[in-house]
Amino acid sequence: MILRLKIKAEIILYFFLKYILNNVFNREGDVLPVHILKKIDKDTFDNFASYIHSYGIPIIFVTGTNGKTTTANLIADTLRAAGKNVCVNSNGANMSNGVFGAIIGSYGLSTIDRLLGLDFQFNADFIVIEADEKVFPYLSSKLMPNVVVITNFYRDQLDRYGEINTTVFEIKRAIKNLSGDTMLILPSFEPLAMSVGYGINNPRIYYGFKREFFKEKQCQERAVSSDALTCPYCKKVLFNRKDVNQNVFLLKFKCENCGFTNIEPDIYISGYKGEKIIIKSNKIGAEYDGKTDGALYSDFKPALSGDYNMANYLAAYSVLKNYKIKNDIIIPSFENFQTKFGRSFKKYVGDLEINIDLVKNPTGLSRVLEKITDVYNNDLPFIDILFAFSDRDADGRDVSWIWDVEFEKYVKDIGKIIITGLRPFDMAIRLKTAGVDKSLISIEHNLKKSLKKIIKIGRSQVSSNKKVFILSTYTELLRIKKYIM
Amino acid sequence: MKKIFELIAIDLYPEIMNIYGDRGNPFYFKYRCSLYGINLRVFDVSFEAEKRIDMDRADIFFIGGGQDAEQALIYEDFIKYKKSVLMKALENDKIMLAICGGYQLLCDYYKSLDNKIIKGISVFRGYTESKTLRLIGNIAVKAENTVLVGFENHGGRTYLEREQKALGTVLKGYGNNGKNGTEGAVTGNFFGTYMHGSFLPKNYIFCDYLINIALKKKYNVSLEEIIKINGIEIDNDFEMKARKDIADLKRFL
Repeated sequence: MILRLKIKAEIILYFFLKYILNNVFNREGDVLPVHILKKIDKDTFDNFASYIHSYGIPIIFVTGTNGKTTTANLIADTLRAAGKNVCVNSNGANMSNGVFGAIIGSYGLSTIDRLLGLDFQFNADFIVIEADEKVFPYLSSKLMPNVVVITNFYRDQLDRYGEINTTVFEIKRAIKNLSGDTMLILPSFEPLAMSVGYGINNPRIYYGFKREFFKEKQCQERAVSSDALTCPYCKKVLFNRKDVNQNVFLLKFKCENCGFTNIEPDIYISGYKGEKIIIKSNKIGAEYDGKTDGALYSDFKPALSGDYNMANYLAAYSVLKNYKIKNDIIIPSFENFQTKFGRSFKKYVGDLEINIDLVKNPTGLSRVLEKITDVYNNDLPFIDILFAFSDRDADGRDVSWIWDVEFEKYVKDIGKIIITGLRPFDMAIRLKTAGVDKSLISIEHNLKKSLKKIIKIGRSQVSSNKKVFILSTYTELLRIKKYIM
Repeated sequence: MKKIFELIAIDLYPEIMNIYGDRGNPFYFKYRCSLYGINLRVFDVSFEAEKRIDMDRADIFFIGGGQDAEQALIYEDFIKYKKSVLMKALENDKIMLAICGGYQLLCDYYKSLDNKIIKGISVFRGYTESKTLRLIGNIAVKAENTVLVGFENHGGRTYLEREQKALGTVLKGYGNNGKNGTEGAVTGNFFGTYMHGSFLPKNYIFCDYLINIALKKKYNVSLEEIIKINGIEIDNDFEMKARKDIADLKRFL
């Protein structure tokens, strides 16, 4: 399909603006060029969307509260390893502007002929879109995804979004408006996200864990928690024991009222084999692999740690198997996966390992604390942490969510703490209340100085594996990136 | 010799009515008590009658906010099993701190978006109507000699009866309904408010005010005396600075 002149002009303008931002202002330019295009032409999204449909390229959406960026990039990187061109909003710019920026950015001039005719071609065999939960209904109505992956639904930025139940309701309604063939990839361990597949007939794959995975780590209080307290289906109580919600992964749950219950996962992590995790499926390989010899089986050594990342691996694996990507492509891609900045990101400064994680909601921060204090990952007696904690719009203006984080559980592991950002004292009070000694906490409003301080603390550790941890809200993460990279 | 003081708190439906970190209130109250050498025992009480604790022994009750669905879930239990206990506590000058959805349950009724009526227990005289547009943001409230701060996020608009005393007057933000400048409600030692934050860590003076009421009631001793008896020095450095960091509210503090 030949592009109309207006669309060509918009693509050229997009690349021009992006070039200026990258080279003159040294900014990433994921969002602003599209913002300007939209000002000039309010139909620009509709126009691009209709071209995209005409190409018939598979479109994969990843949405949910935590793990979107990592899951989308696991999928995109592996598809690339399989020789595909992939259009992906890889930096987590997941609102409409970022998504359409990635799409417009995938146009290119490939041959002299095209250059002379100045016709662009869309250089992608797959579109992988990380979609913000609230923008999902809009994006879904425009782009009409073939596959929808949901990671989880936890409380996040409620000041912006209101109640999580409403968000999930809107997403489910958007999915019902798509064709009934849209494949849903859903977690079996998180009732609210799982409930999206309840009562609709779309094809779906549930991914999850077997109890053995947690057993082998000899830990009863595990990982995959949930915010769903009421049954997503009938709204009666699903859990009425505090500990169930806070500490225990949800391998099993059942609503006493309507019978809404956990579903056995189709694809699951069954346990460990040395440092490798084992992914299995009870369905025969033919369904996913084209092989006819028995059940699906893979094992690989994850490049990421933390149980929440295992869930991201599983979600990505389920999508890739849906497209019959072979294990000999998936496994090396998964094992060599490089995270994006702030997502289990590591950087070395001399012999000091700096770990950087984005933290934006109670579940995410709890999972990161669990990961970094886990003896499997960390042999330091105490962990030294820099918190960069702010309340700008993109961080969520309400800071009360830190009271929902179980700092109490990790006090014994906490070493020195530096806090920076716009709201450092709120974090300081939270830590103090949890039992962290006030003398361990210091406030440094200046970000650059706070980074220097945590690096100095790290270097003074008596260990051959010196490590510090930076846990940052979104806007501070962007600022940290400038200093660290 | 230091005297041992003990207070008992009941946290109502903590796993359900806790949407914006409201559990920070009992956490911080306990922490603050510990600074004064007061041992606070917190009991979680959820559905039906709780067997571990005679609720009449409580010195203070906490309840937080919840989503609409969750509020609808507890109100029958609340009226059936908690109303009489709380009414007795109110009469006996016990304390309650109720936030957002919990506050609404202490009023006459709550009318949800789909026009369902959720009955309250009428500790506070007034009613709440839910609207789609939520009232969200930092809030500062003048209450007697102090300025209370918090973060509000509610769809409900609460209208108090003329004779019902409000907690304070809105300096910045929306408060009860975004219209008449009132925020929260007070009856006896029962306090209702829309302020999350969590509320007590943001308002340590109010937290001390509650501790003082509880001590006077149970031990006939004031917090000031305890500070003297136990020789306590409190460092409120973080607490004071945290309030000043709220950019929207700077000119009210």
